[in-house]
Amino acid sequence: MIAPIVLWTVIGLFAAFGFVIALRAARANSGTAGDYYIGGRDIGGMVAGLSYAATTYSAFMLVVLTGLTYRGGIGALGFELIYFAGLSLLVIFAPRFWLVGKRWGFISPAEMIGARYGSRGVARAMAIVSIVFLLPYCTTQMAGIGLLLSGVTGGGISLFQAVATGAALAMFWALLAGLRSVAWTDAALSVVMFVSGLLAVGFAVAALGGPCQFLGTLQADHAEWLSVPGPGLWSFPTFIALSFPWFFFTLSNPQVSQRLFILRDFRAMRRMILWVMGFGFLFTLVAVIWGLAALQLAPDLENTSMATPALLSSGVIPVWVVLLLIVGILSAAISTLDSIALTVGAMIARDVVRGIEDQSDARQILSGRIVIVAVVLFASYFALEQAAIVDQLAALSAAGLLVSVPPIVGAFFWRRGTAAGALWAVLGGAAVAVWLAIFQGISVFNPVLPFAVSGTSVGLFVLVSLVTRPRATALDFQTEIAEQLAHHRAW
Amino acid sequence: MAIDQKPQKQPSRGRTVWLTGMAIAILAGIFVPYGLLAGSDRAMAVLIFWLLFGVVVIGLIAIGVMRWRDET
Repeated sequence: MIAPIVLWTVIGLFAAFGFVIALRAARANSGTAGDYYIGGRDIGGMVAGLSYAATTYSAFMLVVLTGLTYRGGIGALGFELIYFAGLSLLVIFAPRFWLVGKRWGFISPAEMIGARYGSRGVARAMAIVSIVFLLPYCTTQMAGIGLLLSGVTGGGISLFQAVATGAALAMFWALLAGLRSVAWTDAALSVVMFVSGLLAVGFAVAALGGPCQFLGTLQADHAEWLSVPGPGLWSFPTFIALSFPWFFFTLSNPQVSQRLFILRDFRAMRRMILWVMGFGFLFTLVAVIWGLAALQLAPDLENTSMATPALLSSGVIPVWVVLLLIVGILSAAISTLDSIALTVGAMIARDVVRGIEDQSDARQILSGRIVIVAVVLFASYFALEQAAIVDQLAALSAAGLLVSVPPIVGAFFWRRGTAAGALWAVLGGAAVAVWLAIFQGISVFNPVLPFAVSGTSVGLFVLVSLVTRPRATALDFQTEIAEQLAHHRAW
Repeated sequence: MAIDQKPQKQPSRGRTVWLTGMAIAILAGIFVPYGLLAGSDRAMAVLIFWLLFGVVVIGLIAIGVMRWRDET
């Protein structure tokens, strides 16, 4: 176990480091809403890439994914790599998001989709549905922080203290300078997360006798964990149920797709994607190896979400690496949390509260800041109340957010798509998700849930669009950006 | 001209080939481990396959973005 005072000292240093970066970022802000929410569309490729990686590769990786590996074996690698393959959507959609964002000044993905279909109602519906499904995902980040800090100190740091610490840091970084401070702290801390992960896995594997011995023992003692379906968790239906919605994460999660608006130019876009790919692939391997190492070093855990805290407390990882990794996981959780809070803030300020044209920049930023505080407090409360259902909450949000994918794809590839079709797709799909998961009790490990949600959403989008007419105010993204896409040689 | 009356531009052959390649890779990433390699007595087969799958995905994405022209 780690003494709470040691951990508090390290968290204090971590907070001070983030504070300095956030203050520097605040000085670079000009005070406009565009600057606050998307960094003035002037973020370079490396910072954007590391920030994207820190946001998308959250505490889920080293808390939940390691737990899924511990419980079910190598199927977790396949699941995460299908999710990783979803980055391929960026090849097609990143140039389109960026070009239309720049052309019409969009700040949130919901705003973009609303403008495309000529309907503020569509933007509002997308924003509200995104918020409904993102909030559970926020709670998983908070729960991850709680499990980690209380786990490695044996309860010396209480769940409440851990969650309160995460909430304070997330609020501070998002409130101070918006996207710029979030992106800069993300970039710096993602390096900590990555290096500490590599070091920790290195020490864990070394403690097991090196890579050959590690794999040999794994084959001898846990051969089932190296196959699919493995010891039970990764049946084919479960694999599909989890992988399918996560494949579309890049498009379905607004805190991720909004990152496509922040880029300076095409060079930055390419570099961002390359950084995310490199980080994502290696970090996936780190998380899975970490879970398999925990299986050997901390066997017979009842709650597999405790695999990481158990391994960190096992004594085989040097304390300084443990502390560094805790900071890394804390960073990942906070990064995801404040990115979601910032995006939700942007959607409330731009899409839900009032017309864009009626609000000053200062009011848009103030609205967003109030929402950020509300989101973080909400996540904290539910993390304290429901920390035991971390896996279920994270995956439910992925399935629910699928409803935004048909209108997004249609926005760029189907001129016949209408506002009514988009509205029905979002609201109808969301209603089915809630009905199945909450009222019918269908588990997120059951493929019926994501396929019913996406099938309803696609079906409603197509059918309702075919019986209604596009609005006169709808924008024609395809025609407007065709020349620029060709100029940039983007598919 | 109304938005639904504008002519649709045909997608480029390169994009079609790339999308096909990516679709095949993703389907293989699902069905090979759960089909051909399911219950295989070659202990590391699934692990190695998925690592190769990850490398192929990286290669395909790199092909897609390296062709972009940067200047505005």
